[in-house]
Amino acid sequence: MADFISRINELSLSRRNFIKASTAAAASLSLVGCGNTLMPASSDQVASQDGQWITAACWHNCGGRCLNKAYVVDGVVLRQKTDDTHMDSPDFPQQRGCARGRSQRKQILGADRLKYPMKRKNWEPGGGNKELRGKDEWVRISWDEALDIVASEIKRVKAKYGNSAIFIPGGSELPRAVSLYGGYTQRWGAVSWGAWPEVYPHITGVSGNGASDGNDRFRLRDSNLIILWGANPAVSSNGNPAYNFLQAKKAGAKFISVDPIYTDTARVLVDEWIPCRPATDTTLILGMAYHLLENDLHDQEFLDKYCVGFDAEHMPEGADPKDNFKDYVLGTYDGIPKTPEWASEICGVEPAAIRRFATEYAGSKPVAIITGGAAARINNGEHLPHALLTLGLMTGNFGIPGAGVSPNMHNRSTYAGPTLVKSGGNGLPKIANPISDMRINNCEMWDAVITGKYTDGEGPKKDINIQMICHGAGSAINQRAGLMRGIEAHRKVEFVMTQNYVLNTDAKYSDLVLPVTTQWERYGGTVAGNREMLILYSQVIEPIYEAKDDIWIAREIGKRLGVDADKIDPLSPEQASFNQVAGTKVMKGDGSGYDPLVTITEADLAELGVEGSPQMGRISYKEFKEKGIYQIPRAPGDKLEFTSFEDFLGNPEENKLGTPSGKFQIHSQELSDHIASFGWTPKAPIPKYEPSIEGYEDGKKDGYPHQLVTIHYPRRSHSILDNVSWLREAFPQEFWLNAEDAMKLGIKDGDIAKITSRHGSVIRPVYVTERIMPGVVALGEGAWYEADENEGVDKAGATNTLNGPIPSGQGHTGHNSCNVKVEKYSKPLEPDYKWPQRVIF
Amino acid sequence: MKLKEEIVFLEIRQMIYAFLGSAFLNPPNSSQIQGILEQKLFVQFPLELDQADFLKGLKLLSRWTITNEDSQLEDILSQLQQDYSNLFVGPGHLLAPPWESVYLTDDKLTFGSPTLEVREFFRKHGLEYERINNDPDDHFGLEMEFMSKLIQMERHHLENQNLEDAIRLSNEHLFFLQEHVMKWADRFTQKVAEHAGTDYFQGLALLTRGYLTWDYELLQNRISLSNS
Repeated sequence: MADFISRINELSLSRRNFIKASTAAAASLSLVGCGNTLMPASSDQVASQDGQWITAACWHNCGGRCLNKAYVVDGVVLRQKTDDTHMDSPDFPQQRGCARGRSQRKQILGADRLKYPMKRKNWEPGGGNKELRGKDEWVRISWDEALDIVASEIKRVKAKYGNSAIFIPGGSELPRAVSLYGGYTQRWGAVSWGAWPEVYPHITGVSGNGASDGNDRFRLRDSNLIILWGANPAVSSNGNPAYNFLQAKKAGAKFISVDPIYTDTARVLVDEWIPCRPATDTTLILGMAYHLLENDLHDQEFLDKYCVGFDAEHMPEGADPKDNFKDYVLGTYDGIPKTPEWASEICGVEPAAIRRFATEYAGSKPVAIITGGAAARINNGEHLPHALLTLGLMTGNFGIPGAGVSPNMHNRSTYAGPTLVKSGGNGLPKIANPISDMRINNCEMWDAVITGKYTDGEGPKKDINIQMICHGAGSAINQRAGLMRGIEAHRKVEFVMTQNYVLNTDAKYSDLVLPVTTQWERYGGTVAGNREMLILYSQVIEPIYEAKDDIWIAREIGKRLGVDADKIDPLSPEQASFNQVAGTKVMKGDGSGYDPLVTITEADLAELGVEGSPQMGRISYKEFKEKGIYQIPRAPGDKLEFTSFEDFLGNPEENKLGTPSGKFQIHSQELSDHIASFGWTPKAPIPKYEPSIEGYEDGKKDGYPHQLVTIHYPRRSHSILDNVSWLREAFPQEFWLNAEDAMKLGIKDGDIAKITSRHGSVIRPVYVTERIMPGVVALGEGAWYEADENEGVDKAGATNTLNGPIPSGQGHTGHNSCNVKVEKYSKPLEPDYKWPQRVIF
Repeated sequence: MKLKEEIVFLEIRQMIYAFLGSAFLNPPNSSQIQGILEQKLFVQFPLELDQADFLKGLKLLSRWTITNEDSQLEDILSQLQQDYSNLFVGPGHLLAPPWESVYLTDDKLTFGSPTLEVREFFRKHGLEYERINNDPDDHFGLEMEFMSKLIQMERHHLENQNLEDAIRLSNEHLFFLQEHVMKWADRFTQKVAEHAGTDYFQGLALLTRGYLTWDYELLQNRISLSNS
């Protein structure tokens, strides 16, 4: 004891270096602060350092789909990897991830996650000071308060204005609740596919937009020539497509790229680059068609047998014989022969190059023309898909292995054909929107909010009064044309709310933000990509902070609206995921039909606690879950190879196309009538060049000498992941400017440029290059709008600041018909990777 | 007598850590702020140190107390909560992310390997965060609370005259400061002090930094003594 006291005395010496310590005052400390968030541990075991690899969802709409795995120790993700489930080979490639997928820890665990429900400080029922949206401060609130606000605003808006005043531009969960409460106004219109969706079925009789049509990757090895027409799969379809094309090149195919940009894909593959002005490709095609006719290089026999509308002798029933394609090209009736010289003036390709290109195309059968959405992503651009298909038909380049014309894009690029591994549905019953006729088009929605008028087919515009905007999944302000109008619209309505995991542009301009879980925090399920494989992902981590699933939010709001919550959310996540797995089918080896993929035993059912029946398949449930992927074995020459229209070519009588004539319709009155019925712009029954609104000609006329193309960018998937500064640094958001143009403008590489369209202005650092043709400029789409209110510019370079909301044709968006002027900007701009994150730290 | 003094001294340190824990971990609430103002906590702080940051912090906190003597609690609270959100919660850019992983990993992410290391430290002493895997374990406030719990255990050992265990815990305390807190507290409190919109949080940041510097030195000296 004496020893103890003396040691205490020694140890206490150091107390000299404080001035005073008062126990009396210490009592007040205990009153104000005694946290008790550290509880007795559930076990005294120190956490094992052995982790587990879990298949993580990589769910983005990036145009690829890859295997992504997370190494998880005690609930914490320490690193990621990609596909190593089998040896890689050209014939049986792994599904490897890209920089984006490998940045998901930064997406999900960055400090900029939305953590709690937040309310705009100056919000009050009815909106309060609505001008403050996007600028106001935020106040943390409880989930109960947040859900009460949403429900009471829905009730209030419905009572005052009716259900159509509630606009839900995106997300699939909240609509379930609101549909049970009388419905809501929807958004519609193609964005990615350009003008293909309504054109392709009318010409070919095949339903869908054509993105899954063309040649299977093995059949591409049969091509003599592959023309990438406004297609850049190395960026827009990450994963294997560029690699699959490389195998075709190794097998002897020549590659030509028609594109205003010398793309990353071109760098890897192409032998020749034909730069063509945006929105004018149809003139290039018509010039080629003229050359084919002039030199008798077209396949008249094919045209006679398989097509209608090419010439006066082969017109569909009821059509004016003068209205045929051949006479249009020759200028028989309009007096304008569509010569290469005529085309060259518009599209910028030299006449000699047009002739050489046409000759090579006609003489290289089989030739595959493959396009992405870009070339046809132009205002009133229906003529382009129609013309491109017609070019293929003129040379008989259809229905034989290695030939064809198709917008074979997105995650089906190089993977045309029926799905070989097909997920089952989750079994969630649909809930119909009782007012599903209330739809506003992408290019008109913000104007509809502001002006109260919208187009509903031919005839006068109709009235609408939107007073509430609810954003689920998506990024409507940032990713739809007319961003500036979007912000104006958001500052007009009485209530705006956003469900998201980060403060994206929609969330920023809202009154209320609700934090949602990412797919890493959810139970799991299947994600599909190319046709040869299916991924089964699992939950990686617990929901972080106070994030909740979207469906939970819909259920809670539904309860407050007094609707049946069990109708909104009738399935457990376990059951929904199981339904997908149990319903997954795999193509038989001879291509004749499908078998179940997964074997399910009574023991599996019991372990999962789900309803279902045992079945026999190719792999066990456990194997699928552990590997996280099933990829169907393939080899050249197998029975699963595919080329569109092979059966029609083989027997055109037996296998008629689903068009009125049973043949390819170079003349389609139905297409023309159909486009007219949307109520915006006309479309001739044959592929005539109809200059785009804000296309090349309009720009020249109105003093906007440059044409902007908006390209997919490797640093993000549309707008998703643009908040990750790692990716920002790796892939700068640069403005592409041709070197000759730059010299004329007095702009050097790295300078800051101001780019102005009729709709808005952005500033960005300039990438001066010969990789883009003169007169054309480019900016990656998806950057997060960042207003500089004083200068009236968007510092981030969101392309929709420049793209106007111009409804046309089938109601698609024409992102690549946009006129701009460019000038040097005198003020500095800090690189965006150094900007403060909208931390969702 | 010395033993009793030592125990009291431990109690003060324990309570300061506990206070810092809750002040950083949770948004300011009305009973807490009312208590601080009524008790004039910062005017008569239980510990006074000859340490520049500490004194500067205390001065700011006293000023905040005096300035707010006649203010409405609701107004003070809303100002503090706003500041707390801007600094630590969001949405938007966080001015002072309060997690160790953000400072000590290359990726600057939450839920990094420090989260697991801190968790192991907690478990070694029979503790676990109640929101494990929902919120990161390496929150600054939680690390402060953990220090307070360690001191509490040390105090119990001392009360039971179990000196060896008390010294062991004191060593653990030092070790945790060394391996975790002191590796990022400086940068973190710097950010808070720089970006805080109120005297309260600016003062709190400086007070914390000063206190930690002092406490760390104290433990280092003491360990060298106990080893001698």
